[in-house]
Amino acid sequence: MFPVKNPSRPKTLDELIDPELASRLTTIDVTSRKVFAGKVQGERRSKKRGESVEFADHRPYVVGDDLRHIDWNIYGRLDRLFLKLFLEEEDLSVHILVDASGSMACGEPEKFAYAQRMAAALGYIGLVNMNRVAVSAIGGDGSGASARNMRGRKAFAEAGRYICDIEPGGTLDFTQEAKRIALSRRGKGVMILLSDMLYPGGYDDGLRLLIGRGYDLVVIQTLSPQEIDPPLAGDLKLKDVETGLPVELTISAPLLEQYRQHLAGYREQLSLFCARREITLVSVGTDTEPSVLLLEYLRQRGVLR
Amino acid sequence: MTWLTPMVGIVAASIAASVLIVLYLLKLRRREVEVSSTFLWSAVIRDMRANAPFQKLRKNILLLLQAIALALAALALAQPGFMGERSPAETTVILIDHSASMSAREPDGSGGTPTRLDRAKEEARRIVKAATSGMSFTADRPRAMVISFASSPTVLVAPTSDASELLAAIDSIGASESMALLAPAMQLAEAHARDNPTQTRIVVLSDGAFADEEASQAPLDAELEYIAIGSGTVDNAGIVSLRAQRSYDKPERVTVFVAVDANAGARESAEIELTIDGEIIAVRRTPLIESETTGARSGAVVVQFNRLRSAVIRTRVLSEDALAADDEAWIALPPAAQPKVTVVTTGNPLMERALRASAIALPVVITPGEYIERARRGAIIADVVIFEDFSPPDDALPTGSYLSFGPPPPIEGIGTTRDPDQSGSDGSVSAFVSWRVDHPALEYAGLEKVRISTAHSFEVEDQRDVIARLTSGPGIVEIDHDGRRAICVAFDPLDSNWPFDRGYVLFLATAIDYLAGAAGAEATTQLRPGDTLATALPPSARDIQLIGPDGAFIEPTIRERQLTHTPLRSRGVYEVSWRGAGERGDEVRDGRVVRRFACSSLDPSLTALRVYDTVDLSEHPGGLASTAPAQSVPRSLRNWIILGFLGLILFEWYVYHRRVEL
Repeated sequence: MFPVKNPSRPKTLDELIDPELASRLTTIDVTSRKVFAGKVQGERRSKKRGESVEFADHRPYVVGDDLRHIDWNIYGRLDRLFLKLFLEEEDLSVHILVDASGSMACGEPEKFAYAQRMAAALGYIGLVNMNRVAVSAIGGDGSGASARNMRGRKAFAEAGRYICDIEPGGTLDFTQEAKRIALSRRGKGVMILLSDMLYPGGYDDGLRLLIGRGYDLVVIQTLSPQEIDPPLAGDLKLKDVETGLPVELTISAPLLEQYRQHLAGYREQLSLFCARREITLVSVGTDTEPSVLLLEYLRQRGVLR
Repeated sequence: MTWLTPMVGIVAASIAASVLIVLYLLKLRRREVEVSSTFLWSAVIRDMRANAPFQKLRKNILLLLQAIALALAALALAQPGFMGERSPAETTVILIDHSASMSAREPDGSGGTPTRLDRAKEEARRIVKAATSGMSFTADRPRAMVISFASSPTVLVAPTSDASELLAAIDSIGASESMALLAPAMQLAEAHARDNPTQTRIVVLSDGAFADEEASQAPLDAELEYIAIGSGTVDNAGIVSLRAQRSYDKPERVTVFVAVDANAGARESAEIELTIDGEIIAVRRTPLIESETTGARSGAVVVQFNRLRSAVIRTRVLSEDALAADDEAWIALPPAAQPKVTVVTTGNPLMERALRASAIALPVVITPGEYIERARRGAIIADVVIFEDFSPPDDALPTGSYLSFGPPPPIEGIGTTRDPDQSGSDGSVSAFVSWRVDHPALEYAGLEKVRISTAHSFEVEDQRDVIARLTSGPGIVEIDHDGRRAICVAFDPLDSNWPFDRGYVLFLATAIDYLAGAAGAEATTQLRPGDTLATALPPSARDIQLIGPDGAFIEPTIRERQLTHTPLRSRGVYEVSWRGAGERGDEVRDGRVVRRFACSSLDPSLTALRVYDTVDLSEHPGGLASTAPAQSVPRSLRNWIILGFLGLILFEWYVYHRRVEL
C-alpha cells in the first residue's frame, strides 16, 4: 500500500527468475482456449491449414492449387480431383503487459517487483516453447516502449533486460494505454496483464479494448498485503501516490471493516466482469510464492499447462 | 426560572464561543501517508456518508456538540434555578428524645420489648445510613448531626459525614428521667440550620409527649420531619401525686396522700407500698376508676402515721409495667417543729392568749428592754419576733422574720411620717378599704370588720409592698430587705376591735406560719427530674456536701450562700449536709445539719405513655404531622447542567472517534 523507499527489484536475470524455478518452467507452456494463426510455423496447431503431417480435411481442386497436395487415391475411386488439407503448426503470440504506474511501486513485498518476476517467468515459458513473446510496460516512465517479436530461449536475455529496465512511476490512464496496445498489436494470441487493477478511471473500457480482435486475455491482479489489510490508525491524510489527491480521515475499526468490504466488492465486481468476457482473472497477493502462482494457480485456471 | 448570576453566564458564553471557533478553525494537523490509491478510501467515505443519517448535520456535528457543551457550561455559570420540591438535604439534624417516657417498653411484634429509646435509636441509625450514603454533586458530602434532648438538649456530634462517628453518638444515648422539652432542642437545631436552612432537614424522633407550655419555634425554611416512636397501647400505672401533711393541731400526725393513674390498659386496681426511711409501713390496694372524659383510670391511697422527726417517704406501685420511672415517688417530710415566737410587748394579755389559742406557737414574752439587750448579744432564738407597739433600734434588729403592730421596725423601704393619727379625735374611725385576698397571711383575717381608732401613717417606698390599705393610708405592709422580713401592721390591736374577732387569732396564726415557713419552705418542695435544686445555706455553714440518690457525692455550685445543682438527673432523695448552724426544718445527724430534697416524676402525662401523631410547632399551624409535608423551595439546576456538560463532552469524544471526516 505504501511506496517503498528502497525496493529490492531484480537487477539481473538470476534475480529476475530463480534458476531452479526456471528449470521447472521448461516443462510447461502457455495455453489458449483458442488456436491462433501465427506468422511462422510454431509448435501448436492452427485453424489455418498448413503443411504439417496432421490431416485436416479435403476440398475440391481449383485451378492454381499445388498439385502435390491432390489426393490421388480419391481421384482413382471417384475420378474427381480433391485436395488434401493438413493442419499447419504455428507459433503463439504471448504479449505480457506490465503495469508500471506509481501505484505498483508500493507494498511490501513490492507489487512491481512481483510483477517483474511474474512477467519474466511467463516470458520465459513463452520463449522456451518457441512462442512469439512481447513485453510492454503500461503507464509510468516507460510507457510506450516494449520488447517485441522475441522467440526462443536466447531471446530471454533481451526480454529480461527490458523487464529489469522498467522504472515504475507516474500515472496511468488504463483506457488510453489499452487503446494504444490494442491498436499496435498484430495477429492474435494470449495477452497477460500484470496489474493491481486499481484504476480510478475504471478498468471496463480498457479490458474491452484488450480483448478485442480475438486476444485471449489473462489478468493477474497483484495486491500487496497492506492493501488487503491496511495497517492504518488514527487521524490521517492519505495521499494518492499517482494523482496526489488527498483524503482526510480518521481510521477506526468500523472504517477499516468498511474498506475491506469495499475491496472485496471491487474484486468481486472485477471477477464478474472478467467472467462475462472470457477473461481469465487470477488475483494474488504479493506475498504469494511465484512458483505457487505459476505451477498451481495458473495451471488450475488453464493459463499454463 | 431564576438566574443567580446571569452576567457571569453571558460573559463566559461570549469568551468560550470565540475560543471554540478559533480552535475549530485551527483544527488538528493530520499525519500524511502516501498510499497506492485513494479511490477505494474515497468510495468507503462516500458509502458511509450515503448510509449515515443527518448528512448535513454530520458535517459539523463536532462543532455542534462542542457548541452545546459550551452553552451548557455558560448556563451552569448563570446558576439557573426553579421552584420545586426539595432535594435530599445536605445536613440532617436528628433530634432524639431520651426523656423518661422514652424508657417505656413496648412489644415490637417479634417477641422483644425494646424501649421507645431503643426504637428511636434504631430509626436514627437508619436515617444516618440513608443520609450519609447519598451522592452529592457538591464538594461536601451529605452530613448529619445528632442532638439528644430531654429537659435540655445536648449536641452529641456536630455535623459530620462520618457515619461511624454518628452511629457511635447514637449508641451512647442513655435514658434520662427528665421530661421532654422540645423548644430548646428546636432552637439548638435551628442554630445549626441557620447557615443553609433550605438544605437542612430536621428529624424529631420522639413519642411527642412534650412538657413545653409554649409551642416550639421551628425554622420555616428547614425541612421538618417528626417520626412518632411507640404505639401507646401498653399497660402502665404510676404515681402521679404525692403529698405529706402534718395535722394542724397534732403535728406528729402525718397524712400521706398518694394518687395513682393507669393508662387505658385493662388494670382494675393498683397496689401501693409506702416506706418511711426504708421501713415498709403500709401496703394498700386501690381500685382504679375510669374517667369518663379522659379514659384514664385513677385511684388514691391515704395513709396516716405518727412521726415527729423528719422522714423520707417513699411510695411504690407493686406491679410490673411498661415504665419504671413513674412507679416510685419520694417526699422529704420536715420535722414537726412549731415555730418559735418571741413577743416583745409592754403587756398585752390578749396577744399571748391569742397565740396560745392558735396552738401553733408557744411564745416567749419579753419586754422591749430585754429584747434590745438580748438582740445585741445575739441571743434571740426565734422564728418570728412580734413587736407590739415597739420599734427596736437598728442595731437590735438582726436578720429574721418580724411581725410588728404599731410603729414599723427600722427596715429600709418603710417608715412613718408623723405620730399616730388620732383618728378618733374628730370622731372618725379608720377601716380597711382594700387588701390582697390571696395573701396567705390575710386569708382568714376578717379585715372587713376591723375598726381602728389610732393608726400610724406608714410611708412605703414601693406601693406593691402594701397588702392591706386603710382609709387613712397603708394598713398592713410586707417588707423584705437585707434578710430582714417583716409584716407591719399600722396600728396596735388594742386601738381596734380586731382582738375581739376570731380573725385576729387566725391572722396571727397564718402570719406566723407564713413568716416562719419561709425559712424552710423548700424542705417540702417537690422536685422533678431536670429541675434545679437550689437552697439557701446559713452563714455558718461549712464542709458542705451534696449526696445524690445513688449515694454518690455530687459537686454542687455554691455562690453567696446559695447551693445549686442543675439539672437533677435521677429520681430519689438528694441530701445537702453541712457543719454549723441549721435552720427550721433541718435535721441534725452525726453532728451535721441535713436537709433533704425529693425528686420524683409525678407526671400524669408520663404515666399515660401517649404517643402523639402530631407535635405543636407555632410556625406550622395545625402542628407537624408524623410525615413531612412537601414544600416548594428554590432548587438549583447548576449541578444537573454540569452533569449534562460532562456527558456531552464524553459523547463528543465518542463521535470524534467514530467520525470519518471533519
